[in-house]
Amino acid sequence: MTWKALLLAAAALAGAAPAQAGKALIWARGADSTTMDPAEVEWGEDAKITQNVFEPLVSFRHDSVELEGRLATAWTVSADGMSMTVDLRDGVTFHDGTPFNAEAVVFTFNRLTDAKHPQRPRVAPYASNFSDLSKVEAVGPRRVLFTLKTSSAVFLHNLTLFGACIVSPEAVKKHGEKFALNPSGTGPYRLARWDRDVRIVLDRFDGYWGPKPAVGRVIVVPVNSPQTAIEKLKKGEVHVVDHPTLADAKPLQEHAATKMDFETSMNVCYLGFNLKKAPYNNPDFRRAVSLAIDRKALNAVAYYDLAEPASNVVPPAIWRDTAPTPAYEYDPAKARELLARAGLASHKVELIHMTFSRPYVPEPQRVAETIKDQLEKIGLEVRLTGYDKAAYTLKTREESHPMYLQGWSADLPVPDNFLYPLLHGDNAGDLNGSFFNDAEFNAAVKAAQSERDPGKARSLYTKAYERYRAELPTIPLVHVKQLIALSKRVDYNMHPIEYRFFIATLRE
Amino acid sequence: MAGLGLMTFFALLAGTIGWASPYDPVRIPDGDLAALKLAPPSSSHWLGTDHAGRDLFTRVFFAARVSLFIGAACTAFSLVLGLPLGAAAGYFGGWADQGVSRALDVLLSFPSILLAIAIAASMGAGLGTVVLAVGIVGVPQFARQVRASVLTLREQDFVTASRALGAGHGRILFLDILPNALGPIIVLATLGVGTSILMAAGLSFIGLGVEAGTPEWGLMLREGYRDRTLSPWPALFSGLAISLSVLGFNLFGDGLRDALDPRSTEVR
Repeated sequence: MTWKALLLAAAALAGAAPAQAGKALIWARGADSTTMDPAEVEWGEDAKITQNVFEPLVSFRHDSVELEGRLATAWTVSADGMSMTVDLRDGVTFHDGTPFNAEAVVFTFNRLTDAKHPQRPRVAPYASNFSDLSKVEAVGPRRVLFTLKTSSAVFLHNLTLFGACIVSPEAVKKHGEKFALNPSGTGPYRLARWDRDVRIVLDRFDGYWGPKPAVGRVIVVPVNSPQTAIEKLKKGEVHVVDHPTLADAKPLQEHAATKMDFETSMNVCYLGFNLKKAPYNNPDFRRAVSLAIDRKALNAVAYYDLAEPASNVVPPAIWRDTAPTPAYEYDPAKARELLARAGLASHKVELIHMTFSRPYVPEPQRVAETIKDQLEKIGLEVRLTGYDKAAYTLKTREESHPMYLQGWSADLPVPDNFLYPLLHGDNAGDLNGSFFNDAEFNAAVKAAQSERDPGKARSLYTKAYERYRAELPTIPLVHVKQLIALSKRVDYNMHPIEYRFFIATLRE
Repeated sequence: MAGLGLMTFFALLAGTIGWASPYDPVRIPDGDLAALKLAPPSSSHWLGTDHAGRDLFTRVFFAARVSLFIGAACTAFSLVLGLPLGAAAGYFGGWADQGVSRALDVLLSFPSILLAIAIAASMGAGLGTVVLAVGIVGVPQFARQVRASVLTLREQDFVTASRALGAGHGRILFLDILPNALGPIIVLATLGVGTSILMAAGLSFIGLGVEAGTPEWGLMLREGYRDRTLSPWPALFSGLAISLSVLGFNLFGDGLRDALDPRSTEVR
């Protein structure tokens, strides 16, 4: 017993004392986890840990959003698209020592989707992504059959979601509701210790089936203020800060002990129009606004030149091989003409915006002030009103709101994840705050959801995009790069979607 | 006198900056913003430029107009509501006093900046909201001061005399009592302008104040604070403007009190 206590004390010291920093990678982030049960994960901070402790059947390649098997080695979709057979990796064990097999997969998905399951998680925010799953069954020790209610093109992508990470059935049954504190997956790291709001200690899982992580221990600490975290980074008290502000990028690149890594954007910031209200429902007005927007100036004033000008609501990394989208034209003179022709010269308009930071608008006031400036340069008179989170969500769903600033970060790296929630008629008055409800657009997006031929899906998306571009219910402004601050002792390449502690290396 | 000097300095520059400066305080300049923004002080931009490449000198002193207007408007708002409430409570006593005083106690029981934040957050940011939020927060101070003065004055012989001559309540209150209660109110109002500027700047700093892009010290301080690692000047100069103007009003208010209060003169 005594040596155990000693070991525990040593582990606690390793987390607390900067002198011990050489042994473990110390990762600072904005907030602590709320759960470690993948089924309960709702936000990025929870996912950061579960992505390293658990594994899904299918995940992304190390450098892109292309899918590759993780716990699955192969999958085949039936000709009618209604079922999928998945072959599972051999020789994989959970952290609790039990073997990974088809039963564990069946257990994981039943637990997630069956409201009457005895080990049902307390909440399951992403369970609705699996509402088209009719049945999952083991058809052999290493083979699983998924049966769907409708043919779905995004089902395979859904398997990459947090909730679809495979859990150890034995550990879930043993710990019950406390599984959220005692996670057991197949990932490269296992949970060693969790002191709420202080630190999470992850140790390398020696029984991991894949390449073992270079760093034996990762200590994840919540440091709410990015400024404090960055000071700690400069002093060497932490090695990674995953929430630097855009303003920090340049000084950190120039600092002797720190560096930055950037990753392509998975988000969009856009300007929306309430199509139920004048003058925002006037196509000439929307065209004029579109012509007045100078994305280069916007990038300089509001994004520290760390954004990419948007030509589509879907980020380029997700639009990929679909027909390229040309840049939006910037022509204030033409905009003035259009306004004059529509009888809207020097018209009074209103733009509402959030006052809180999001990844796609770290500085919402600056975006608003720049757009106001650009619209006033074509003769409009613009009033700005800022709202906090609760008020803003309500405001953009009312029918009375004017122009608004909004954005979106991808849950899944597929075009549908932007086009359907933000622009489809089904979601008008919800996330679709413009009330855009175009029959042709709706039909193309719906058809693409069940289209499994990538070529045909691409042409449907192109058609939807053309309607969007012609009607301008919203105008995409920028895609904001993702960034992470690192000590020069650390090698780590950001992944577009996931935080992968297991690829980091730490030099003495 | 130092207070009066500071106030005059800000007022003069605020009044003349419009035609004295070649730069626009609000418009984002055309041209290469990456080169224009966050420039350090130079001969063409005396205090440097802000995050959008605008001249800081022009903005800091143009903002004096906005901030002084906010200070004055908030104080006027507090005064217009506080004066009649306090006067009624002090003069009539009884139920009127109970009602007004308890209502004021409720307002006073909230920390003032929290109350202002609650009002601003529920109405959406904007100049009108700031004046309303900061103005309401200031009402109890004025009402209490007026009530206290009126309470003392209404028992004075000249009031009794006026009443004996058959004067009505209105005449007594407005022609006999209030003119004699004005001294402390003027002092309070002067100090109130300083406090209001500070509180409005606080609201803007947390994003609940004036419209984004407005040259206003609190908002400029917020934007400058964000960029402090890239350029310290915007935060430094807007912060300095807030400190100096509030200091000016406070010194002036203190001076006025000394001048208007006979007791403090005697002691010296």
